[in-house]
Amino acid sequence: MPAVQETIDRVAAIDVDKYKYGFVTDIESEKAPKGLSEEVIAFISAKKGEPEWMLAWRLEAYKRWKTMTEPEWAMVDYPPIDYDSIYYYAAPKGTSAPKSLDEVDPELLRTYEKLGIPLKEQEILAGVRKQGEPSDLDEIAGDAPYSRVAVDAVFDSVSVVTTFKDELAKAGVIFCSISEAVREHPELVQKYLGTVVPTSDNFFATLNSAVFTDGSFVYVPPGVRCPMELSTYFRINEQNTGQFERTLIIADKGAYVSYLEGCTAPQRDDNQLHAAVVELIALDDAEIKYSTVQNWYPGDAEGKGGIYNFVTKRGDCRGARSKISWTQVETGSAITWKYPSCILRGDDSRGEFYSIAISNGRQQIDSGTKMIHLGKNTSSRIISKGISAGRSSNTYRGLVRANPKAKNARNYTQCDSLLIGDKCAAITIPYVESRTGTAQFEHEATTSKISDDQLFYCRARGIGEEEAVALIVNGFVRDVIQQLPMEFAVEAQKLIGVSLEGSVG
Amino acid sequence: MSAAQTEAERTLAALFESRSASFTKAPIDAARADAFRRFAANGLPHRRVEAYKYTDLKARLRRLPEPAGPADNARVAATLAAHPPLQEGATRVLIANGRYHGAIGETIGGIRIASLLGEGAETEGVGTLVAASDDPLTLANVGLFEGGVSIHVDAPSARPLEIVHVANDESLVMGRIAVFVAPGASANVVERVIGGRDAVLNTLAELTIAEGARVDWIRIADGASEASTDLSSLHVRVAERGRLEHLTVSTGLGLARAQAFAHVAGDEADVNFRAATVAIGKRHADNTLVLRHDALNSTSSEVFRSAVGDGGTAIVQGRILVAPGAQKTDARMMSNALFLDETGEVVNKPELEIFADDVQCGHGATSGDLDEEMVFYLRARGVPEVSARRLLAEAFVVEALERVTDEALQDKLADHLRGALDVMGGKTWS
Repeated sequence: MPAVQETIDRVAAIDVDKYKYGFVTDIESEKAPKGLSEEVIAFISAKKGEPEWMLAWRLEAYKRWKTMTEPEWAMVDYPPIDYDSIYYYAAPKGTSAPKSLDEVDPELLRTYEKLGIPLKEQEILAGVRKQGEPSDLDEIAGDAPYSRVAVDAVFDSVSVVTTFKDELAKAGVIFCSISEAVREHPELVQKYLGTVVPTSDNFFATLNSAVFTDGSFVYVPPGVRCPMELSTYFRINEQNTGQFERTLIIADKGAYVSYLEGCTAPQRDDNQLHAAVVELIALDDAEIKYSTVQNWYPGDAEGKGGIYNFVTKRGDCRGARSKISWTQVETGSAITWKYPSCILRGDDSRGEFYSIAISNGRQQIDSGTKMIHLGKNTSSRIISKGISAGRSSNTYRGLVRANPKAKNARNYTQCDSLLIGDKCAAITIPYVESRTGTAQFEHEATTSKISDDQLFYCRARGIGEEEAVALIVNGFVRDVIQQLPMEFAVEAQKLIGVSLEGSVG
Repeated sequence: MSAAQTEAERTLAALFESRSASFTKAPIDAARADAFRRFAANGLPHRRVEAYKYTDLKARLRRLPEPAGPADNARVAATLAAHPPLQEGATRVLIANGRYHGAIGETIGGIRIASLLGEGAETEGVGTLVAASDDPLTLANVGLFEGGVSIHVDAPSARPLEIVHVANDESLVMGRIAVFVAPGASANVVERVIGGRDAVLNTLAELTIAEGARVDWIRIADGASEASTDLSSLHVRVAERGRLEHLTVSTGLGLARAQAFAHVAGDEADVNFRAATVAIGKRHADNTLVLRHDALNSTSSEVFRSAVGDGGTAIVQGRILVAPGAQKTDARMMSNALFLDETGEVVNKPELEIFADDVQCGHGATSGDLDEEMVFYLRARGVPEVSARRLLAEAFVVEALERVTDEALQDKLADHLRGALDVMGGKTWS
């Protein structure tokens, strides 16, 4: 009977083998000794050729971390992490400082190509085609496939390559790995590092401060609109390693930058830790747009393996009229613990948070945002769409706060949850705190399932059930997808289809 | 008890020592000992306890007044005479200094009333709804209550009930109420606290609503002084087709925390909570609700209206939990707060925890000052600005009374809220 076969296929298809980035790159790597100690931190610092102040900063954080306890308040459940069985540093051999793409191990380039990040092609394309010069291809394909994105590719603990560096330098934009920035631009790093997420911030951020290995550094000088999208692609490859990247983005007065972040990891049976810190600083009239498509390996259908994604992301609208916008599509990771936030310090500053969080299988997501209104006439907007399927749990946790001096603060929050199946959970925990009568806060949240009427409407028009669900879900998340840069919007839409496969029936 | 024991916690421990001396082997006493042991393990809740994040009792209640002895009859009579019942013909059930004041085993109009402790006490079923609770205020009351009343309503009752708590000034009182409403029966209850300047009350109520029964329950917390503290915990279980209409009216001064733990246990049950709060000046009003849907086709709705001014604080925490299998649940919560001036604090924490997919749940929360367009509308029609603002503020708070069916009572409550808004006196309204 066809129906039976269909059911079998569907059951077989649930979650397992849906993760297409689960391959491992066979490449020799160099690691720090397992576990965490002052020696390991000194090893990492030495590997990166860091100045003494950086090592002192790390050791200070480590000292503090030893006194801290792991947070337990999140709606996630996982066995205790043995911090002594993790490798805190792993680098593909011979990639310590490639000068150009030609020096990069072809195996690595192939890995990125497989992930859909063709580092080489883009660079070559740019070389042939001078800036602004029209090309025959434009007419055929439009801008999208050839739009240029500068990529910083981070493989385990090191940045293997950063493309378009020279061209960006012409505009005065500094885009490099954070290790390089510590060496080349110590004054900027010292001025801004840890000013948004201090080393004492929280357990995972403090751990990151002690052992961070690589990540991106961006500085956009006053009045400069960054000529292209900047992007970092994170890849965990080694077994038993943690990835602790640190990203620092500074938009000086009147500057604009759009930054994209993507990530994947191989399919492995044990859990791996990813504890990143991202700091954004927007000075007067500056704007930073930060977009993430998070697709770490989520584990299999039974919850075996997967990445623990414990990330601290925070933006500081330090200057007047500055703006920071976070957009995230969360589909991967076994556990996500992540609250990209905005501190609205400058008068008339604005914070935005757009999020799609999709959980399936046994994934657990506890994510949301914080909007802290400190300056006058600040405004913020939160749109969060959570979709739970399988046996997953999806929590939105958010804080909106206006301090007494935050006159005329405005916030609008909308968080909607969609449940697919009766074994999953959708949880909404918003904190709305207003300490001034001039602040206007609005919050609304809904939880529902895909309505039978909508589904029936699609089915009656010959659309398959799964396709219909994907269609309805894409409509549900449209508000957020629209905020994504073109390159990511397409990928995100596909990801939503993949993540939900097998969730109906 | 935790390492840094406060004076208040020492007072409670000493009180337990003295009260437990008379404990017997009866199950209710075993439950008391167990509850206090569990309370003492963590002490008074503080801001690191999530449910008490915004009402830190460890910090606010550093020391407690002396526990009150039995009340003085003449004083109680005088207090009652000065405050006639809010509903005509209401049967008054008096709990003075935590102890039931009335004839033992009274039956009035189909309602059976008995004491919870002492001679003729009726304790059957008492404690069932709180047995699994780990709420510190509930545990403290179960361990330490000095008395209270059990009420059985066995038929649709025509006569309203008014439960009155009277407390001595500067005293610590922990009265307890257990109400059982039989299948198909109905009860109409007003619960009020009268007097008790600088007193600390920690009241516990258990309400069991059987199949098809209906209860209307209004609790009025009118803080008598800056140092008065009114803590109340209601645990309610609603069976099939049962219905609850609950309203909290919170005004006055001092600290008030009204907690409700509702368990929607029966299919097609309907539970509704409303709260009207005026928090002006030295008032910290906390409305906390935990509502669990555990059955099919059940509905719940909440509307919280808070007006805050002159540095007052209004906290609303509402958590709706839809358990696995509680399909077709319809749950809606709305919390609106209005600032009467630029000062004060409003916190909204509406939570949803959904473990069933075929449900419709939602919440909304707003805070801000008056809509200038509405003020303009009224001014354009010749209403002076001060009156316009006052009118809008009143209408905003009074809207939470819409489900009060007794119109005369609704009017009295509205007047009471208007009176509370008057306290802004000389500041906003003139």
